[in-house]
Amino acid sequence: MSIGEMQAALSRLYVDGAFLDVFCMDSHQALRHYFLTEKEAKALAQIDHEAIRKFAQSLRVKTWKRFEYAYRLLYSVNRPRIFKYYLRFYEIRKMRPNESFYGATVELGEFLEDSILGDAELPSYVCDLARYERLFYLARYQPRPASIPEVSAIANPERDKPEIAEALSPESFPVLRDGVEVALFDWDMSAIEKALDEGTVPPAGEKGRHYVVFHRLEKLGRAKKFHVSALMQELLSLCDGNRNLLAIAAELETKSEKTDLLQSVQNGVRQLGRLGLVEVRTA
Amino acid sequence: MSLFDIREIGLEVEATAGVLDGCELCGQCLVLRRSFSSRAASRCHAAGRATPWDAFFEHETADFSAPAEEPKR
Repeated sequence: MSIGEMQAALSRLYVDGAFLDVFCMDSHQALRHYFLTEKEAKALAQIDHEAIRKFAQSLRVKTWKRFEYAYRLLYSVNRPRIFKYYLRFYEIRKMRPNESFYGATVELGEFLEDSILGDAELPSYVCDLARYERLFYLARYQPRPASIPEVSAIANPERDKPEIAEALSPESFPVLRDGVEVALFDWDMSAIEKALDEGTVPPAGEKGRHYVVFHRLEKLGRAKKFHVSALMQELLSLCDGNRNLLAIAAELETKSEKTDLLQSVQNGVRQLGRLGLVEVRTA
Repeated sequence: MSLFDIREIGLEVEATAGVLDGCELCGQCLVLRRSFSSRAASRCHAAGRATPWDAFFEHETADFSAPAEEPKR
């Protein structure tokens, strides 16, 4: 008996399209590297080719459905084209029994970003879109730490009282909360997502510097994303726990050549606190 | 857009609207509007699953006899 070899051959038939094609043309040739008895080889050769093809197709599509929601916007841009890239991924990245889809979904996003670069049949923004959806997926499904150490937060709408946010002063030291990531995109992902959700063609627009904040929430599967202005991104980058609001305002005034930004910075940090993106330490 | 502007993107806020009691608001049923209906949420709630998504896949992976169509060129 070589049941393991039979199963190996069958599994490959289900997931390897080229191998299945060879098998359908010449099963003896396709199976020559497997240690099969004559009876087993004969049994495999008599399998209904059409049934295997249908099963293999079903498996491909159902596996895609596991990925599709993570890259639903990208898929809506050009379904046949994106599915073609998925099939390339499917050929080289075998799923393993009982494997979580988390790692494979992230890998698929990276694969798509690399593969669709320069594809003239797809809009210019698709690489950014693949990365945008991958980062949002990561924010939602990245394993959470067992416990997050608490720093005195200025506000967390899901947990804290609003009046704590009012305690913010120019001497406060804001710091980004765990799970907050800022990413730069060439295209306005907010406008693109809105257009694709509405079933319309995203505005042509021009390349620029567009910032998105991804916020991993405590509950697995939950995250938020925000479109932020360039100055808000600068403000976020300065919330490192080592600068107080006075220092941050001074740096932003230098960078932006604007004056009297302290009050605006204070309001901005308060807003970030209310959204749960920033917490504050006192000197 | 103000100097220090920040706007939330997407459906997370809307995800709290109109769901059944007991739903844990994972939002997948709203994100995947394409093929989702109240049936998916009902299944989820009725089955006591953690999320509608679990119930969706339980349903989707149950039958291999009728393969879905691959996208055509």
